[in-house]
Amino acid sequence: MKAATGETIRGGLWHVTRSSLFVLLASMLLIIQGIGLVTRPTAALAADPSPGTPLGSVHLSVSCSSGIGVGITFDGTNLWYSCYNQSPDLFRASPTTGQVSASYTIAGGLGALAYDAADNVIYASYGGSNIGEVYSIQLDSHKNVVSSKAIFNTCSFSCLTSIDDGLAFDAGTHTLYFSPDTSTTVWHLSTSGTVLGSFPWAGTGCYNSGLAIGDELLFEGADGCTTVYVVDKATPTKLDFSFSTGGTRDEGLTCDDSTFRQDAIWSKDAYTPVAYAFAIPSGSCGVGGKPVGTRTVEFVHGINGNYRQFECGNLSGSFRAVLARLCAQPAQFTVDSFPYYQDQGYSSSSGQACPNMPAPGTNTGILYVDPHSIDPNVCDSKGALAFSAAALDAHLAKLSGPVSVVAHSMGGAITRGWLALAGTKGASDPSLSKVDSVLFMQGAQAGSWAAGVGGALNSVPIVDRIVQEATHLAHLDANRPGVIDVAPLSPWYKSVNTALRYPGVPTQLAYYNFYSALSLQLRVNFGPFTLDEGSFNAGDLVMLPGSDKPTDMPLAGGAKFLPGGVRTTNRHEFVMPDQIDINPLDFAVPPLLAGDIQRVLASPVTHFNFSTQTDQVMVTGCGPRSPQASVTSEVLRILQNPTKGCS
Amino acid sequence: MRLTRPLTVGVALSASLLGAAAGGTVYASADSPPSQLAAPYVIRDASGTEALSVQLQQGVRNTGSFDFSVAGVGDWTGVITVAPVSARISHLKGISTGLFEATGATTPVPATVRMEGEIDQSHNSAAVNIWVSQPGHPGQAHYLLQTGSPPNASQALRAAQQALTALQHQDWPAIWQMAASSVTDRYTQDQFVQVMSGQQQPSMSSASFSGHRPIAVVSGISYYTQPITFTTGVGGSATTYTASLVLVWEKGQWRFAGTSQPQPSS
Repeated sequence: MKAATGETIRGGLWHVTRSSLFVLLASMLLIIQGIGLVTRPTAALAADPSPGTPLGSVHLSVSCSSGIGVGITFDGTNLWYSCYNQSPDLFRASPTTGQVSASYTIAGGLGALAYDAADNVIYASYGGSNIGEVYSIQLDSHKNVVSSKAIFNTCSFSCLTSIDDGLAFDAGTHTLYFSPDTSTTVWHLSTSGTVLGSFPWAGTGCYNSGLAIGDELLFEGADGCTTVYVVDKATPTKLDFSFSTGGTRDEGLTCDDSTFRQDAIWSKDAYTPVAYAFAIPSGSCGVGGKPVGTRTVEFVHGINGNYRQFECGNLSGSFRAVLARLCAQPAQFTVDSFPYYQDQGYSSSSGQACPNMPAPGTNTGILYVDPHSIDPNVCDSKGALAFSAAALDAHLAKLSGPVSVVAHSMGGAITRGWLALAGTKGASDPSLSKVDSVLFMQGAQAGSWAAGVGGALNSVPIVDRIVQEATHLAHLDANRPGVIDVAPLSPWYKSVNTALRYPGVPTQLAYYNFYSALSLQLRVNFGPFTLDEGSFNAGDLVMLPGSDKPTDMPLAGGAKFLPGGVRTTNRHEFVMPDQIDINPLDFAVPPLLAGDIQRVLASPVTHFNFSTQTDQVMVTGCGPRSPQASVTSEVLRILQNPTKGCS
Repeated sequence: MRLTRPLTVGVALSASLLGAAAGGTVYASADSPPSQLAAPYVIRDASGTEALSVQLQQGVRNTGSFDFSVAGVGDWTGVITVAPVSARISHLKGISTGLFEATGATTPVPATVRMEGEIDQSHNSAAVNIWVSQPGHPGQAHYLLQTGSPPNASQALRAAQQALTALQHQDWPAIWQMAASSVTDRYTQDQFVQVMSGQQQPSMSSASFSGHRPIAVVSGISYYTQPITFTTGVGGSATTYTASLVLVWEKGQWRFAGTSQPQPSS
């Protein structure tokens, strides 16, 4: 917050400008009440309004007891706001109703806020006795605060008042913009606080207050001057345009691409629990500092997985080779990890079984769901698939588009459930307006034979033994709902396929499927001579290849599935082949049997190895020249332009 | 063994069978041995054409998932009552509304399977009557799945000796004559001889038995495994290997399936 005039007081509780606070507090309240700005956001507008056109306002349901609150940021779903010098100091509210849904105490007082969509973090600056401190506040996928820490202090280069009212995050460069109270300088910082540069703000006559990034633009508020100045980040000293905010005392700023039909900038008033929205040019808001057009990659992990291990800040699960490269390109990609119902990520060592695990959604539609599969005390990533599919449908609808869903293993079965739900609702399903592509990686398209009785009838004992080993390694507890669901021909798959509308995936979605074809070449010996006795395609050992036809439901399940039955520029299946020779009679010699099983299990295309060896597994690319490429590079290439991945 | 096909069963008879099965099903008592059929247990008809796999369902007492396979026809799957009558003997009885997937097809269709029979795991023997429905065929087909005579250990040694002699002499026609169905179903004698004689491999200058192993049953198939030692080459270029002759009990005879992969003798 900036004072128009007056002396800065250092010390005591009010580390802010004397004349600004007490005088303006009363006057602004009168102004706001007098002109009646406390309204709900307006409905959709008929045409693109000019920048600065008021779009509405929201009255936040909890006021700051300190009387001052400057921070505001939008995470794609919620508005977050802060309060100066008090606890709690951070609030999460609905942008349409203002109803506060959560509050937190971070530091006993906060100033400006800036959401980082790349890391799902809120950066928050000081607002009280904590002068100069900047905090990183980690959120989970449900936008609950899970942790916070001070990450640097600005006093080494700027230490003016006890509150900072200007902080913005740029996901394109993964940097911060900072402008403290009573300052006309904007500092460009790394997220560890290193000064990268500074420049004067573009306004005149006042101090700079709030900051916000909107694609290539930097928005600069001017408290007391009721104006927002806008510059291009590349030429920050050159004013691009400005607009009046009509009496609002602009403090924190944040852009919002989804609450209104028009892209908007929210401005938080300093002294009242009210935020005001103004139109900004279309296409100039990427939530969380993202450049407009940033693709969200929604990763849906497999059975036994933990969604926290697939977040950019904690890549400790499988598919690191792919996800790390996506995370390293925040200007292009945002990685989001989807939590199952009963996801392992909800487990805790605190004694409470699954704290923070939400209740299952009820919008399971046509999907089969075991009514006895709800248990708030179990989080093992083996819950009923219908609950997770319904949650995925709702989750995708909230994301910033465009979105690519990348599903692994049982995550593929959940994704099939979402596709069934979305396909049933058709264009009215909000998720389909966000998602433009789906990629399956060894997905349980038709189920895993390891979850059923399959495999026992192979006439070759050594294949039986390999299947038994794979089944054992897959850790499939047949008493858990998710495992029962993922068995071939289960009621779950029947319900998914009941909803199947040919060609099986909504036509507007691009579709790519990676499956394994591990061929066990059976070569029997007659002393030093050998005889070919055929081969057995074991898929990835956990998933057989199955059938391309969407309506097929093979007894032993499978990972193949080609919507429409024909490969096109945006619908393709990639086979990941490998071949291992084994003598089917080695089963009679235990050391040889053990060696054969070991060699088979070591194949990079098995379900047990693939997810950590995508750099090594090669596929025939689907581009014009169709070169051999690693799965990692092919997935990254597709995600660059998934709607035309094979053109 | 397939007896009749199709065996037409009238509607009234079908109804009475259903009723009889529903009323006469025997459930095992709570103290029944829990370990029976916990893993998939496979029994094969003496003809080698039909096979039945049964595995107890987890979490559901005294019921088993089954997969009944007839070569060249297809697979029936479903759930059947498994009634333990002793530590190693189980009765299968009941009618299941299961699924049938024809050989080469990828989409199963509903089918009815009725089953009555006994599995004796201690002797690896079984006799199970199975009535199945199949799309496009009226009524039900009846199969009697019956394991053949138990394998004869004394014949095994003699068969193994014959196989080793033929192998040492590269007498490929003789080997084909004594070969298991895994070979003869895939190759005619001429093809087999051509494939084997076309390989440039050193001949076996000597070969002998080196101990023996007991008869084993794996996936419903009885095997006799005879460890052997053989030498190729002569003099300074001689190399000695160990391997195992594997004989399969098929249709009341030991048949030569081949050897394991030879390993250089240490």
